[in-house]
Amino acid sequence: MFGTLIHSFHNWFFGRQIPAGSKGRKNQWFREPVRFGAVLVLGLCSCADKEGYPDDLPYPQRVDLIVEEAPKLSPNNPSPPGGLEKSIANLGLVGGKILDPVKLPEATQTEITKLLAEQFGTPAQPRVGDGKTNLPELGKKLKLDSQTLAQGSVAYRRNCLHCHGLSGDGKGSSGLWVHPPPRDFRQGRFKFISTNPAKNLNRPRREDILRTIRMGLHGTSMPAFGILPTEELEALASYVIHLGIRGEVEFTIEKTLLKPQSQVLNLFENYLPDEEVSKDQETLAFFVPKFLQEIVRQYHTAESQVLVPPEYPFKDSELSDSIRRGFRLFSSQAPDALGCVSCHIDYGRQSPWQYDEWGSLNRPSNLTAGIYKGGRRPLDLFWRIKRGIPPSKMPAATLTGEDEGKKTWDLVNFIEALPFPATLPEEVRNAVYGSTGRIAKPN
Amino acid sequence: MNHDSHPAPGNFLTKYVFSGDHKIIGIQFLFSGLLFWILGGLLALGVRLQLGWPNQALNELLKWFPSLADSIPASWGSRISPEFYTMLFTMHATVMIFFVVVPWLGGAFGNYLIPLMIGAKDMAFPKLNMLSYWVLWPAFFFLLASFFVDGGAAGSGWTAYPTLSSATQNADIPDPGLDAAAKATTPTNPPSPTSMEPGLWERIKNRWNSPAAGQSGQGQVYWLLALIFSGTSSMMGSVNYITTILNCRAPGMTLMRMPLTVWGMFVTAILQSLALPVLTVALIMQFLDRTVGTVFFLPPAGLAFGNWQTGTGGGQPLLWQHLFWFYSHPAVYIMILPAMGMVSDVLVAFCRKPLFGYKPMVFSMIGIAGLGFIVWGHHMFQSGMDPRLGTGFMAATVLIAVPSAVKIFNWLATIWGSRIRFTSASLNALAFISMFIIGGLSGIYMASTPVDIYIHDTYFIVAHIHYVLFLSSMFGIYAGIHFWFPKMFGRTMNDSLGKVHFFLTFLLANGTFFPMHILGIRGHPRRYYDPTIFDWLASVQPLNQFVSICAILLGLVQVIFLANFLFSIFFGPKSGRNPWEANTLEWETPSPPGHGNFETTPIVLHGPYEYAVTTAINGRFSQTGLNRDQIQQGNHP
Amino acid sequence: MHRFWSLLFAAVNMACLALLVVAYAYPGLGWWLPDSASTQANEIDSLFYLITGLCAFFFVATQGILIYSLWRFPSTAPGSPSPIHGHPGLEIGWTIAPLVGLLVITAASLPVWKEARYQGFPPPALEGTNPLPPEADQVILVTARQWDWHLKYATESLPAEGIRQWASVGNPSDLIIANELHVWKGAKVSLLLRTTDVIHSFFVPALRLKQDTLPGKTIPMRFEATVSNVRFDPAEGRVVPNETKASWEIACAELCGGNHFRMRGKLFVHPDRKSYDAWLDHSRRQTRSRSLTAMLPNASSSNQKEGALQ
Repeated sequence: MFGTLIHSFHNWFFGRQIPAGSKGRKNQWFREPVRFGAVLVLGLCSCADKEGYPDDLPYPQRVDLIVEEAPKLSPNNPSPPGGLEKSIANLGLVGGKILDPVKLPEATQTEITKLLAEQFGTPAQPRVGDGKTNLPELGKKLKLDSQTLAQGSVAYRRNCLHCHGLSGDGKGSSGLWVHPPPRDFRQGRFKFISTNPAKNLNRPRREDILRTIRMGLHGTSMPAFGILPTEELEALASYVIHLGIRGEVEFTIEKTLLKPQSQVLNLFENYLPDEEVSKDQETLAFFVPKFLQEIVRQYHTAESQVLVPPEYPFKDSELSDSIRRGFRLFSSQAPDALGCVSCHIDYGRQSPWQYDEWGSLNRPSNLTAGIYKGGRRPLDLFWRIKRGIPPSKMPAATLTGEDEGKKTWDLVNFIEALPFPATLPEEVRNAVYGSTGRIAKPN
Repeated sequence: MNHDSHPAPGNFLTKYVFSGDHKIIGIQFLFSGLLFWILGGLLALGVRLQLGWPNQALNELLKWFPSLADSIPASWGSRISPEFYTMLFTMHATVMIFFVVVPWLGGAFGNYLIPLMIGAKDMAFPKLNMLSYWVLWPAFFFLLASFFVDGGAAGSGWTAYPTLSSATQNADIPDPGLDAAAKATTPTNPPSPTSMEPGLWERIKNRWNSPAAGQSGQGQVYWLLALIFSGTSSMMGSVNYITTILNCRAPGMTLMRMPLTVWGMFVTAILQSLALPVLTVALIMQFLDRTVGTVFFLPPAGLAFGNWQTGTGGGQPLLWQHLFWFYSHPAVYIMILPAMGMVSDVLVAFCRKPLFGYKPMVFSMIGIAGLGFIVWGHHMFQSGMDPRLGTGFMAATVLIAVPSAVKIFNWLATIWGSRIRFTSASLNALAFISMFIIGGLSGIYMASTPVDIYIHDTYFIVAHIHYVLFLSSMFGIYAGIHFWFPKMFGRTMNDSLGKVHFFLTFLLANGTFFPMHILGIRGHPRRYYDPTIFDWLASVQPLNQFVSICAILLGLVQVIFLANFLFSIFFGPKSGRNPWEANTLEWETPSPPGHGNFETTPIVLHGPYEYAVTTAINGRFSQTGLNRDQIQQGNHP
Repeated sequence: MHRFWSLLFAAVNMACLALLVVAYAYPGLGWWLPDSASTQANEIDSLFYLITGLCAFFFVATQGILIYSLWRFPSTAPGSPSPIHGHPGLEIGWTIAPLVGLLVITAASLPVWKEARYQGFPPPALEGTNPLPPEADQVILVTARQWDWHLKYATESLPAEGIRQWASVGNPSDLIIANELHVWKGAKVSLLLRTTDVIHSFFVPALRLKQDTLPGKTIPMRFEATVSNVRFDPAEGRVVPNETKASWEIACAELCGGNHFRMRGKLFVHPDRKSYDAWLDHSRRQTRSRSLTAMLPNASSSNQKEGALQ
């Protein structure tokens, strides 16, 4: 075979006649390289630069570990770059609980994948709901129609995919190496939200997601995308919600079914307590659309549940006093104060690392640096204080009484002034920066 | 010199593998360069694939080449990822510069030609010569292994600017959970299971990981090691070349009778021996920064990546750029001067006319090399260096264009009034001159500091470097391979195929690299993964696609050369001692020359370029004064 | 056949030249220099054309000689090659000719470089407590990071102790926005470039401005815009494009990791200080607002509906 190849090439190459095999075999030598060339050249020249995902690409099934419960302890350092997955695998050793979705029976895994594909489509044709339920109405209000989602999918692929990954798992090529890791949308949980805590809704408003996309998260690797066209931003927010819902359905089912002796009925009991289910309805096929509907309803409710801040009560001349009161609320452990310093140790300069819901490590913000992940506007600070950051350990402020609003604004004023020693009243400045006038490290 | 202590090799292993014979070593360099040339070319095609169609999903391609699925996984959207893309262009440049052009010009041609052209039996230090090749193998290992480590091969550009390339935590980072668990345990309550504790190698590797980018981690460490070894190899070679050229010349071979190829190698060797230590030091400093926690390139306040802080430093990122360019600007001449010499020799042999202005050619080479040491700062006009330094570097850079222009004019005057035979070798040499004019002229834009403000780090630079390194050096190498192939293998390459290859390469290479000037004038920054997110670059995207199509075709065309080369080694028509009727000494030996090169020590009577001599029998004087028939018969007096 | 190679060299070189000519002659293609909108841009462009002219001359001359020689002197031509070895006069001539051309370029470059870079160097304001350089109308701190630009605008007069203090600490009233550079036409703008992580390069093609940011250093940079592309519309509360319809972008020009290409920003040149001040005031009120209703309808955006500019 090899001899024939050399002979035929030699004949052609040097134009000399050397006896070779049959004519049919003589021409075989160029088949492979020619095919290689033809595929490469014709394939590339003919294809337009197509935006968006290929049509036959499905959402990948979840195979990475589920963090059911994050450990309570505070390690000394964050996980090394690229080490998140290993770190999560070790969580069980330090008091966390992890579940492995691959351990589900294969039939269940297949069923989940099939149901998710039915309800959420593919990256190229994303949708929320299979069109049979009454989602269209709520979905339209939340801009979850398939047209917006398709637009969002294209924009997401261009702008977000490299960090947040195809299914929103936060494990894109760039995302593996940044710290904190990019948000894994698949638990449907978002950190910086502005809904009223009284309603017990841990859902973001669209506006919260939009703010994060527009302004980025200063202090993380999330860039600001504010100069994208408005409708692209809106489409991106819709697509992020879509990924969040899809992931949450998957996450919830897997988390529940992975527990020992659990069954589909537990899903209904835990997540759809009002639903009357008959025995033959205890199937995932029945649960998924119902649960999806419930999540969409919650997102929809959140839209109208913004936590409205009370009117700002102070004149400019009262600012110093307000900062003093805010300082006391922040640093005192008295029962009527908040004692924020117990986590934001040394005003955040020595904050300890803590696990958040996703099993990654974060620490209470260094408030002397003037870097606020959730936004630097007074309103943003107000929401962070009053709403907390539920998925990490930051609790909502428990201020009570009729001057609750005033107290919150005191705290906002103090936090706003904290990075600027010159604007702090003298005793506050001495307490925070010492009498030597040490200033925050420039950044 | 000490050739007598270097006996003729006995068995296969000492003859072809661990050989001290400069000819075998040259051919070893040639072949390993060839393999890396293919690798580097494929990496370049990956870059062009992404830039031509930045949003294209490659699922169709994956159906044909499923082995790519690991590099372009579906979970990242079946497309080249930005990290993979940075790896592609970084490794393309690294491979092409340090593992193809430098080993080919210095290692292959330098080794093969220097002793033959100066009439020496072998290199001055045959063992050192052997070592210079085998030290390259650890470099091959680290380079190839780096593609398979966590995070992938190096991706911080071939220039590897800190702090992108050097940022680390500078401390051993244990797994946070395990660390806390270990603290919580008491001697009576050991942590369980202990097997989860990472091993030593795992911990070392983790320590190399970078918060700046995945490829700046372990891949970067391997990259540094590869370059340290490849630099050591070049260093050994250059010491050897200098000694050989100064001490081992045949009787009568004065410095001013040396062929320009040897002059090119000589000047290059001096450049390398003076500049390479600086790069090696810089590489070792970055290696220490990455592995043991020194802070040569980390600024005092440290760095913040997201909410990750590195430790405090005390160094200066700009230092790297000075050290790096102190070598890497001379490296540009290291990659062009030997080619200039080779092209001169090839050209003259086919023009049948003396080289015009031998002495000015030699002095311009020396001038380029001398000035080459004081122009490194022109890579750093926008780096934050004091602008007053920029003014000085501009003046030096402008001056270095003069000797280059002198060379061009002398080549043109050589061609003028000649009688050129168009062969594959001479066409490639002519293309070198034509393309070097373009590469040289586009360099003037960068020398002018204010224009460089705009042109710096755009595609204009990419166009310029490829006109100098691909369209000049590579055409010089093609010319050299076609020209000296008969001497190396005793057979000639197919000239028709060579011409077809030249024709297509000349067209497609210009189609690939000339439009890059337009991209650069538009302001297209280099190393961009997806230029289409910018409105102002939308208009040049069709050019990008055109460039990519040309580049892919260009890559395919090289198969012609490769096939011609490989098949001619075994099946090409046999050549005599001197198929081109050239004058220099190597043509007086058998093809290929035996151990010890010359049957009798040649005595040099003439300069290398005595063509068009009306009084001589063949119209020329060979350097020894022998005529054609005497040479063909090996009939030395 | 031998003429073929001469023609090939001619064709390839002429095609290269033709591409440049086409790109220059048809601005509609968008294959030439982008808009130029600063004093420095105009000077750099003039210099670019000067160099292009000289290079074109040398290009045509040298390639012309080469192509003519290939045409005229193939081995098949009658006669024999001339045995000439060199000519000192010619050597001196063609050493001096390029030298003169290059010195012209150097002489033309020096004042432009000085204008673009020497001002503010060595940076007096950063090393001590020197006050703001008096000639600057506007000081903007640009902090680069992986992968966006944070720009800090001073909304009140800078503290007496100088801009070093302002750059590292600043005032509570400073406006910090991402990826948007707002200046006004004719303002002498002083940029302070910083980075928190790796080397980036602040590249504004329309201003012909490019400067690396170095970790651990603050690098001053000056420019003066000469054309405006937007104005602030108080009624709509946002910046709207003016008749030029020009959209100018900011890019990163030094490799800073995988998402190097992602660092896209925009340049907004207001027609006058009034429009700029109105924008600054509006943006500050938006970002300082403490009530939800005052923020609506753009409740979350400090930087208005930039999308309208697309």
